[in-house]
Amino acid sequence: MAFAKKQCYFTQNNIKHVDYKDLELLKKFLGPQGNIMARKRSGVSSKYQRKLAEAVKRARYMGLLPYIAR
Amino acid sequence: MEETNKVTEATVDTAEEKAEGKIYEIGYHIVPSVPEDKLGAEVSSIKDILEKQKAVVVSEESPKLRQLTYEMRKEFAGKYQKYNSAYFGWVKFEAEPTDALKIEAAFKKNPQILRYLLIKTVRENTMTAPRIPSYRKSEVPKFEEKKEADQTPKKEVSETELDKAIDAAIAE
Repeated sequence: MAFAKKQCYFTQNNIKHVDYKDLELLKKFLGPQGNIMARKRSGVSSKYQRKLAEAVKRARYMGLLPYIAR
Repeated sequence: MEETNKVTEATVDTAEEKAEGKIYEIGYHIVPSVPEDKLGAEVSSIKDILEKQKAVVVSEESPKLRQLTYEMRKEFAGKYQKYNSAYFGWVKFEAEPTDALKIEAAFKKNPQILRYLLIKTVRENTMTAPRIPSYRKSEVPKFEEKKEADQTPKKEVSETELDKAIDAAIAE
């Protein structure tokens, strides 16, 4: 078993909405190059993975997060 | 892609939200060539845009200079200007969907606004406060229980074993 089963961070912490300006939160789910972490890796439920992905993409559009970090 | 996002969000209707208007949030970047002391005038011009459409401000954050994670460009007098930093601010407001689109159009026209993003959101604060790490409830009492469980059988064993050990020692 490569990945231990984790509970979703958002349901655990009772976070209902993912804000694109909340960079500290979003950065937890980014890889070293600024890519969105796979659900398999972060344990986020599919409902919140969709919200998270949208928030990250909005933050990228607004120049708050990088598209590619080198 | 962004364009399609905005359109779908503006047209989606839910009966629950219809009763009290819709909550939108517009985030914007003001061009860094605006001097710091004239930023107030820019902010008030943004407020005028909102007031014109009778939008009710729910919450806001005044623009602050920040570095952009990549270079953005905006056409200015037939030439592209490149920017690596901008004043980022946002306003959350309540408005009718048609008014929200007018507000968006006004932002698009404004030459001082480098980029903006209109999204549909909720009235409550969506930013998360920094959290204190908490332990699971089940973990703490389990540890104590184990300690007690370890101690009691040891005592019983030690009494009988002590006698046996003494007997064995005498016999030798």
